[in-house]
Amino acid sequence: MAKMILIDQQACTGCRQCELVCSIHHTGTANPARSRISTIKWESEGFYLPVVCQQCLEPACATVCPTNAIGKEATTDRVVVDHDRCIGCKMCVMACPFGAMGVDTHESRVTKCDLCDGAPTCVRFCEAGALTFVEADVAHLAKQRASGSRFAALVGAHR
Amino acid sequence: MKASPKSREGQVRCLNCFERFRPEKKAERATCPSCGIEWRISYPYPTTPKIRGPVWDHYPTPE
Amino acid sequence: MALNRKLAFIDLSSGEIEISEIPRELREKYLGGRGLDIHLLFKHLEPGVDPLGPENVCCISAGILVGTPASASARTHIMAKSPLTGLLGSSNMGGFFAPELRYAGFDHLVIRGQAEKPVCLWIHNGEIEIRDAAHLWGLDTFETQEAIRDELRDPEIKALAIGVAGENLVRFANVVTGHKNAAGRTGMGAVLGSKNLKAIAARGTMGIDLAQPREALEYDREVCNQIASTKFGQIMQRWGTMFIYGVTNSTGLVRVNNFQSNQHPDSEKIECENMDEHSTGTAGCFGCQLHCRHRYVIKDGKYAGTYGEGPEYTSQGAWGAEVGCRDFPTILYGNHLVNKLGLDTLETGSLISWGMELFEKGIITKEDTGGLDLKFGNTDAVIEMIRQIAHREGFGDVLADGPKGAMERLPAEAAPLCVHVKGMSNLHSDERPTPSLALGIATATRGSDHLRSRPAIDLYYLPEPLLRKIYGSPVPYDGPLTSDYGDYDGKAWMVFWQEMLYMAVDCLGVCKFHTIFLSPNMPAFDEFSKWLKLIPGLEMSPKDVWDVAERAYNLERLFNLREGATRKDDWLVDRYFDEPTPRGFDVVRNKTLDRDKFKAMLDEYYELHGWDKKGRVTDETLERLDLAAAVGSN
Repeated sequence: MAKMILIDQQACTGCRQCELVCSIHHTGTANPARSRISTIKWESEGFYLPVVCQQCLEPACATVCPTNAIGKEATTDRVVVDHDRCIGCKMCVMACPFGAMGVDTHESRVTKCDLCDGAPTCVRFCEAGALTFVEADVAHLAKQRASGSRFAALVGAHR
Repeated sequence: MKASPKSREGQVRCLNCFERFRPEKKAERATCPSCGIEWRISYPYPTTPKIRGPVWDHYPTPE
Repeated sequence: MALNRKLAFIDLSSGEIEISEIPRELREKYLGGRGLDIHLLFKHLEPGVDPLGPENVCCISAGILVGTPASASARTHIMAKSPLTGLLGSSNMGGFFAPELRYAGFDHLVIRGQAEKPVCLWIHNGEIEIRDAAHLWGLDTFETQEAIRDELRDPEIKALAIGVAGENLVRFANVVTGHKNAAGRTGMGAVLGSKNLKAIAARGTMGIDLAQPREALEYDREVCNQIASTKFGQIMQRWGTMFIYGVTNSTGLVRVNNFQSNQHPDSEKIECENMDEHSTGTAGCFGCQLHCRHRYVIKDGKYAGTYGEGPEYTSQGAWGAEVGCRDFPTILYGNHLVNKLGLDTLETGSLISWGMELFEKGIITKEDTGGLDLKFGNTDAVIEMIRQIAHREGFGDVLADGPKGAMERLPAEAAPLCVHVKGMSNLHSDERPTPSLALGIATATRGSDHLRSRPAIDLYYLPEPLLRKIYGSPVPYDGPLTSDYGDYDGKAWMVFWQEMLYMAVDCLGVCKFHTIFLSPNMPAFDEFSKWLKLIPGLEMSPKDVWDVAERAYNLERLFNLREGATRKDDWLVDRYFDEPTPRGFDVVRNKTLDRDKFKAMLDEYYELHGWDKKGRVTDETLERLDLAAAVGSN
């Protein structure tokens, strides 16, 4: 079953290590501006949220692409850009509700998260555990268990 | 990712005599077997004890 | 090219900005950060100037590894002549400003002169502008940063700012980025305030080349694993530096009621475990896996609802036992207030506690305090004093001048009760039982300081073979090393070694908690050498890194000597020698420092540094460190 990056917002400490290592993995330079993942921070509220391509099941980027350069890859479930077909019109950049599709001016192409071909670097380096790479079909279970624990503690069912 | 070194798991180090000892699981108080100082214990993680401070009532005072 | 970040000279009087390359030779001699800053400051500052006048020079930098995959590579360094001590002013802060400065193309800024009206620097992708900041003057440190982001319409801008304390030239005003990352010590905020420089904003998208990117990433993973697996690392992730209090107060190593005791038994309410009640999570600096600070919303009481970040061990002491308080919300609020107003938490707390002792002993009265009941334990008075100091009101105006300035305005009996070195207050740790820590604060180049020379691991009674392993590399050492922190023998070397380590760390721009500071199982010279090879591609052995540190450290010493410091200043106030510790375990109780032994230790310390008996750098040392030219030119 395909895996997905699961974001635990509450665990994020805002360190932006994910941005740093993503940019190094993909570009060989240290430059969060070229990272495919961004940790958006609201400093005065102490609210931090990593935002990355959600590898949508029905990607808006694919829908608007005039050359059908964007599609879902069957084995990994990734949304992939075929750069041979892509004309760089940037409609996908406009269409994506998450801002996950970006433009890399160094490479003159649109870029997005490609899950690092199966071993996401951001996940590898996230110490806080805000980013995990999990089987998509059971991604919700950990949260169900956590919510169940809170209820169980309330009724004294477990310690 | 949050595992303490295996050999030292569950141990604390007495701040008086520096000997290591293992408090009872989840105990909030523990006495150093070496020097007898009684400590309050807290848990940064469920199985990782840390000395929080002395039990002040039993703190040694000079004669 | 990995080392292509620029240096900018900014003259606020004329408005001229001159941008230049940083010669490779300078990188090899000083690396960057604090090391290159002291070279620049020593070169461009005339001795004897007024630290709050236009002739003072302020160097602001990002360390050579900032913004790269060396763990927690986040740190900004600020250096100038200090308005607090009249000697070296030097302070360091984490957060996110330094990486942004580097991504904007700059590693070093040298700021001179004085703007006619409040200004702000705006640095973005290779360009620097001086912008009008009259509308920012009067805002607190957070508001200033937010206002800049709003005005320039970019929420990703990072900024450093002074608060009203810096505007009011409080001699220990700090510089803040984010909510609590502060360059706290030595009054760098007052220097910026005197230049009418309210803030510096940066935004950059220029990547930093890495010599071996793939290897650097793998090594980062390895180092992060090492750091996060230590017990110290895990406790930091949970409760931050406040865990230290559990160790020091339990033993008898904290200042209580200024200096009147070294331990207090009603610690329950201010132990770090209380943080859980108010915490909304933890936060970390750029690239850091220890995320050692808390985000909090004060849960109840007078200040309920206040959002803040921190507090550190220093604030726990400053707003806790040092001022006789045992109320956790006061610690949280005090921490928040000093960050907002732009005051050094350490200096502010220490001076207020001094004021409280003076009040207790009747040396000052309600007449002096404007009716304020400045008693130990009066939490309202503590908060009020913070406000008064920042605004230079009432008795706050006296304390705002720092130890030296305040002593001139207070009765003679006040001076001996002040706990300071070279005119800078001491951390709330009690060094009477710990000669090594005492030597460190007595000799640190920026005045009383616990972050530039502290062999904190001396407190852990580590076995001698481990001490030999640590302190015997990269420079061999055959002298004594003991596990006992009550000894004087072998401690001079430990302090020297740590000075070199911390200097190296400050040149690199990484966090001290990721080095041999509070844990022996952390990166040190070997790791620094590897980082330098993989990241900027500098071939430097661990010993080469030590040499850079020693060179820069000696320049700091020369700076102070040039400003009139002498051996007399490398000492502690009489209280350390005359008043025995009243409490604690046997190893710390009834202790004073011994003058003769301290003198002998100081002699040894000077000798190890290659200084003469008066603490002056010898010609031989200047030659060995290739500093003769630097000194000769002045």
